[in-house]
Amino acid sequence: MARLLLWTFDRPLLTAVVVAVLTALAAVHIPRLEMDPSGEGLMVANDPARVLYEQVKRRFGSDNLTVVVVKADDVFTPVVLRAVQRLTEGLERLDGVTRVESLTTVRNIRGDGDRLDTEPLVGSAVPDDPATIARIRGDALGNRVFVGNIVSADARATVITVYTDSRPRDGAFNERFTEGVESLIRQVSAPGLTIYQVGEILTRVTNQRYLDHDERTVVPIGVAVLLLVLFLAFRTPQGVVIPTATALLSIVWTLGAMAYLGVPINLLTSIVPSLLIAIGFTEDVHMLVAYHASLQHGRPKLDAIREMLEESALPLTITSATTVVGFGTLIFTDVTMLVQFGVASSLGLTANFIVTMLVVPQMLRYWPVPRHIRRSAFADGAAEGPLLRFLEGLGRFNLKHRRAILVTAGLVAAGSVAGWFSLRVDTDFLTLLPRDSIVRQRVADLGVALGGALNFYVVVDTGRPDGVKDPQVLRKIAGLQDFLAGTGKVSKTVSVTDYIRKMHREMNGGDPAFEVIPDDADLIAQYMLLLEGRDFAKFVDFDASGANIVVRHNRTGSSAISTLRRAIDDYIAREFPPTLVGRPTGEAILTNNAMDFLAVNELQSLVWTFLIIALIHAALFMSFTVGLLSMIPNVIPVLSVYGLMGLVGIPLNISTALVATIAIGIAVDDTVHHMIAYNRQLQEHHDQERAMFNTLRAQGPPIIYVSLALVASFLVLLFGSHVSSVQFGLLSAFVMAMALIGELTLTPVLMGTMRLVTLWDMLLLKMNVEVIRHAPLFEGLSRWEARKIVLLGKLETVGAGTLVLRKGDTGDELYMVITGRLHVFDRRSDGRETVLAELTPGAVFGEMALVTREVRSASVVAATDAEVLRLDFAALERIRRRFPYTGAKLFRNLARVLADRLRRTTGVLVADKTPTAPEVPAAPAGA
Amino acid sequence: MNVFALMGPRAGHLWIALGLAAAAVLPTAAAAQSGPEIMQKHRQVHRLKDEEEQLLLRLVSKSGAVKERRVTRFTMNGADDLNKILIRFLAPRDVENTALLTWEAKDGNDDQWLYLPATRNPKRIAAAGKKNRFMGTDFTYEDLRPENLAAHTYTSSGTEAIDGQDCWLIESVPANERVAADTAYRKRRLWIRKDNYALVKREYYDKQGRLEKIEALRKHVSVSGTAWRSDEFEMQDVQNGTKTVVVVERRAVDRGLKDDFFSEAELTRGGS
Repeated sequence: MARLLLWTFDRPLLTAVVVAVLTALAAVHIPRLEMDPSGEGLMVANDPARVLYEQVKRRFGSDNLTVVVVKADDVFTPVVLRAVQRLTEGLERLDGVTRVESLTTVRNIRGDGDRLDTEPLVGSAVPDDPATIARIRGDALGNRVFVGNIVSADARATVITVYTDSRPRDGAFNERFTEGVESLIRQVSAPGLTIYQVGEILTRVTNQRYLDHDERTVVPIGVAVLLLVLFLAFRTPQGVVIPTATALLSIVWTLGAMAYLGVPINLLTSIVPSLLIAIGFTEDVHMLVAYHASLQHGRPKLDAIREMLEESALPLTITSATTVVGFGTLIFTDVTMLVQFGVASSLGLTANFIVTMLVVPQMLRYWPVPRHIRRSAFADGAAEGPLLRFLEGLGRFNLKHRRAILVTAGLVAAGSVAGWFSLRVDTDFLTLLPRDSIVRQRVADLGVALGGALNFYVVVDTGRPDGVKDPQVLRKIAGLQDFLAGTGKVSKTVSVTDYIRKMHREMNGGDPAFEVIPDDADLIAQYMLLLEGRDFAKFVDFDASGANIVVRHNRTGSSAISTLRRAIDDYIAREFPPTLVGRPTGEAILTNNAMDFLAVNELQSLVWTFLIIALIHAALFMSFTVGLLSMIPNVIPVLSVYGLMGLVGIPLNISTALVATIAIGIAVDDTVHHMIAYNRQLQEHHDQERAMFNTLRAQGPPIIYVSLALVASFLVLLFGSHVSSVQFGLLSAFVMAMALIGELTLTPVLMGTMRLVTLWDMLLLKMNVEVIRHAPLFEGLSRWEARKIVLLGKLETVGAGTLVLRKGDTGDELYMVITGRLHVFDRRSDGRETVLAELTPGAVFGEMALVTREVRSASVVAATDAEVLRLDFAALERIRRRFPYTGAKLFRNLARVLADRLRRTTGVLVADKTPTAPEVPAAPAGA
Repeated sequence: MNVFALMGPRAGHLWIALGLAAAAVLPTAAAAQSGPEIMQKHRQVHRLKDEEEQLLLRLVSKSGAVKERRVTRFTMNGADDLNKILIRFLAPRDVENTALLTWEAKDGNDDQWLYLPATRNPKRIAAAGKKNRFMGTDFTYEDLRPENLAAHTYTSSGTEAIDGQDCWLIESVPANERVAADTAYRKRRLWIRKDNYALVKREYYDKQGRLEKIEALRKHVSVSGTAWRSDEFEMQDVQNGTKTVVVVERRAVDRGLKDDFFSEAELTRGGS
């Protein structure tokens, strides 16, 4: 990877052209980007209930409704009725309106003696004479279908119900419609009248407006805070401009890709640009830090850039991969909006990675070296006084309170799991609006006077044509309606039974005793023949096999709907015969299904994310243990944010659900940088404590600055007007803070218990193939295994003439020659030095120290520059624990070497007794 | 030739020739009739004393599903060119014998009675229900009446061929405020065949002036004398996507139906 990057770095023109072309391609598609303000995205993709819903819409008409409320002291006056009529006619003409129902459209049924009237309640010309008005009033208030539905019982409010198409592909439809209705209301306004609209569409439009407002004000401030922190940290505009540039480019690429793939901008995907800025800039910080560090070491600019690329290639690839994975798992959830967000964010992060890799080095190439490198917060060894002291104090703290830290972490985790159980899953678009929002006031107002502004259907299917004409069926439906009324959670239900009952009463001279369901199926059939028409089509389908109960209510929260829905299902299971099927359905029900899924989806996605990232880390560090351990500092912040939500009462909804995913994406990056840096330190210094301190000093500042910057910019969201912005900001800030704490304390503690070997190092290690083939210690080991041993041991380079072992020293390590030649020598009693043996690559010496703790019996000096592998008990233990199979082979080989030594020694001893020239042994025992 | 020669005995041949020539030309001149004239002729030519039809009503929903009803319709043309109409359902079984009786009135406030067999007594229905659709079909009660010439103003606005037949195109609007208030339509257009004055097509425009329904009349047959009837006609609601097709299965005319046949007693008797 580093090689690829260096290659592209050396070709600035090619890079520039590629970037420009890709940017242009993306930009070209952007105008095709769709806005999707509908609720469709909130539904479960491929939900079988969706198919049912579409059928139901064809049979009974759409359930998308908006309500225009007209309030006056008495609505049954010519002025008000005329206003209602004008509004009705105007609304009927609006684009997207399928039906309008009001006092001036409904047909009344009135029976009187032998007369039956089925004419419209209010004629086409609103009458002026008091007698007719009084008649209208009496008729309306005496009709069970109207009261509580179209007009309030106290006649102080009437409602015009407007049914609309759903227009998922028309991003501007909701706004246009709302504006159209407002304009009509303005035209009709008169003193004494209060007129307003309320409904799902208005709620969505209002939500969108607040979110847009936040995006225009609060989000840019958050970004500005980020940039400010960057400037403070780097003390050079380079530190601000470069991250901004890469963020902008990747946003353009992402939007273009989204447009190309048909992923719309919706409630969630609109977060993606901000996300790219937040995550993108952490990568840039790490790169710039490496670059500045190289500059400080005196490297010329181009070399510094190359060094930066070499150092950053691995961590950046890994962190990008893990972040993309983190968001990518959302693609496999059930809720369409989450899937779209998963696609958009993965694309964005991949784009960001590519842009960062290609553009940052080139920008640095052409940017003059900053003059103030020394002063930057990241200057090597210049972690400013207080920060440095803090980090060193932190290091000491970590060492001293290792156990306490682990225990605390465990407690936090346990506490959070407890919090998880009190977590509510509830999406309520209404309560996400500020409390003083007009929409909330209106909904409250409406709920008092009349049926709510929301509705859903319960569709009853008999399975046979004319099944609805059966009195038994009608009684079951009426029973369900009574049950719903009894729950107190529903404002009004209307169904075919209300029409039939009203008809039966009027056919019997208006006698209330007859407002019941007749026993005669033929009579019912004949009534339905009369009732057939547009009004009625909402309640009985074409062949009368199915009936629809329209349920009006005011429950805006998803969990309230779930409870109600379950109650309905239970009632139906209890009371309906097997041949009669009853199903709640409607856009609200479908969206609700999705909300129920949300918690499960979120959990699934997180679990997968953790597993995959742990696997990636395990592959990187070649150990499952390390992989799992590396996730602990990232799991705990996530658990804790759920615990906080449960504790504080913030519900899990469509936007708070994302917090955890985003948190992982950001937090896990720090861990990888930390671990890789630690590992490099360890390779260099072979001293865990020192490695930890050095790592903290080097990685601490960027991690701290990045985390604090993110916390600060998330906290800016607390000033947002939309409650979801506030919740999101609060939770994200919290989780970033927790991740920071964990990174500074838990990660070092956990790493201290492991010795890391990275895949990278394995690949880099140039092993002398000959050594592996011939070294007795490595017999039967693969190249891979040999490298592991080398990396877990200590590879030392010694110059010619260096004394490696001194006779008389105590020591507990064995050595193996990797390259070069060494001499075993001894000073004779006469003071002359004699070379006892020559050690070549693969030769083992000092191995007896492993068996007994005795002083070295001879000295060993390097005859040429050499590399030796030093293995002590600790190293052997590490090998044994980390790579038990390889260790077993190693010990077997060691045993052979010792046995061989023993044999030779015995041989020498025996030989000494015989007067032959001494062989030159490979190495004398005891050396 | 001098003028006096035109008056002489020989001139008689000339006058006859002129007269014949004029007679040949006159029909063409008469062809330039006014709207009201055409409509008068239309009503007049197709008037029958009484008729009985068995109709199959096929209601077609927006999605193409079909419901069928079968009715008998008796019509009697009485004094002042006012009709009495009795419609009785034959099928489906659960609405069999449901019946509707209408007595057209001069002032437009028709008397109507409805009889549901499952109840005892017929009910009078308010005339203002004319705008209501008849029993779930796409025809309103208003549509089912013959043209009420007094209530509308007709203007001939040209000719057009429908199915190869030359037709007059007549525009019809309500004659006064009262009619305008009662009707569901701001205007209608009628296509009347030139050869036999039969109605072949009618368009209905709603109060906002948008096309609401199209009625097409086909399979015209000569029934009796100058009277023609359509054996199949169809009302299509273009705004809602539904349509109703009416097929005349049986027809009998001039059966000598009397006033007492169109009575409440007959309504409740059921079956005939």
